[in-house]
Amino acid sequence: MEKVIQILNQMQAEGVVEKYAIGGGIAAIYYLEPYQTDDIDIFISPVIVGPNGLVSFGRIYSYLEELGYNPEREYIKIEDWLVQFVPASESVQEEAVAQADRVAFAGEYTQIFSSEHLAVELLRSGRPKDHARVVALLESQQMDMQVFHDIIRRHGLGEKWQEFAVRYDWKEG
Amino acid sequence: MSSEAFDPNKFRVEDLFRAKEERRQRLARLPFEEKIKLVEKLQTGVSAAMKNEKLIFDSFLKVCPDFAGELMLEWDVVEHWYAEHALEPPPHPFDKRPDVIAVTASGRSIGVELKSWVNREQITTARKQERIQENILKAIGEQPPNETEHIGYLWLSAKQVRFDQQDAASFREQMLSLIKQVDSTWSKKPVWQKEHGDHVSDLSDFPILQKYLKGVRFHPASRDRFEIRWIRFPSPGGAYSPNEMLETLSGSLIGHRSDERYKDLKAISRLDEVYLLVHYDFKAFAYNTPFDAPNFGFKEAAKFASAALDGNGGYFDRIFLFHFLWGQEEAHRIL
Repeated sequence: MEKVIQILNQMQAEGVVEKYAIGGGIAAIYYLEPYQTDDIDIFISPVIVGPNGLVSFGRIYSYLEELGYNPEREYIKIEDWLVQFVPASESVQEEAVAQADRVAFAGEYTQIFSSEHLAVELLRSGRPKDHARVVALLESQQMDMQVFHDIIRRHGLGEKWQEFAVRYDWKEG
Repeated sequence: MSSEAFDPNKFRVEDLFRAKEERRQRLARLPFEEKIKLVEKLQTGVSAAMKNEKLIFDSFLKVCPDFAGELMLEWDVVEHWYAEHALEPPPHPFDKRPDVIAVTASGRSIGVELKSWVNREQITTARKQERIQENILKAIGEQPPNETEHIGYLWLSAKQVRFDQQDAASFREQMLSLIKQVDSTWSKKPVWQKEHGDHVSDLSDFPILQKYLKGVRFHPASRDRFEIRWIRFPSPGGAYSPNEMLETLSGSLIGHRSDERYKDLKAISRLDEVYLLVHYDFKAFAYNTPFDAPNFGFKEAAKFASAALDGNGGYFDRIFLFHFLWGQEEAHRIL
């Protein structure tokens, strides 16, 4: 993953992307136990919109293609990793990128969603595997629960949280 | 839980859950770089063979969930088992054997070795034939539309000769000339040939075709007419005897049960029992002659295999025969 982070930092330094942060499964691994995955979700902010009004990844893709990394379905393969660039189009994603934690990795620094933002984003996303990770994050007791609830409130996700708490019988001690 | 402390015979279900939780916590506390190294290690371990083993065993479990006499609590392929349980693997080569490790609801640890029921000689011959056919079709290239008057489609019969790509253009040209010649003389053929088709084996006027083909069968348009891919090879088939596949099965079972590689597996890998799962899969279906015949199906093949074993599983405690074709899954304990 070292190469992926080097390239992301290079892209940021050269202005190809303004801000990025790692979310998804790799961010979960930062806080929880490792598991088998080969994709990395990179959230990009601000969202670049092309002349047709759609989100544009043209600059990112052409930059990476020049380095010899080509798209594979919705990913770009860098070494053995499938990197997916995700526009931070939801307000919670945008804030997660802006307030990401700076983490040292193999002699470089990278940005990773805070545990609270990661949990809220997974809650918003709402797939069963996302919910399983929210449970794991809650049980790991690594989150500042006040910060977590503030993020939920500010981004209007209270209802999703209520549903989650009922479904998983989550009670805060 | 250290590897030294792991004794499956004294292991209870609660112990397993507690151990799993402890393992999760221990892994979660690792530095990020070490976690990513573990993930990368898991990535490289996911070979195509391992993915296939997972699929086979998962499918087997669906038809035979209590194959060990009780339900499974968890299982995984051996490449994942030790890493994911934070257990010290046994010394090489036992760190890669058996293919699957499972723990039953009562805590018994079961190793399962997967073997394919295939006739490798048949596969080698079929694949060689396939490559020759592919090269010939490649030489013909994009097939022109079937504009013949009388010909519905062609079946080519290839010689066991490696195709020289330098002959490709001449091959195509001569093939089209042959078709034109046969089509133009079709009305002069005897009635029986006009109705049932004609096999042209004298290709002496077409030296490049003669170099690579035993003959060409022309099928009349009056029976079936193909507009695309009308120059083709017949599907594999023909007469066969199921005995050939049954002999392959009994021979391989007898070979596996006395395979010295499994002699010390149970003791070294700390397993309670070791099973053998022989599966009939797509490769066998595609390349081997069928094992079945009228009134003789997979169940009968399993009975045959059981009789061949005659109660002697060698280094294996149980042996199963599994039909691993989608929609036809069927498993039988043969020992």
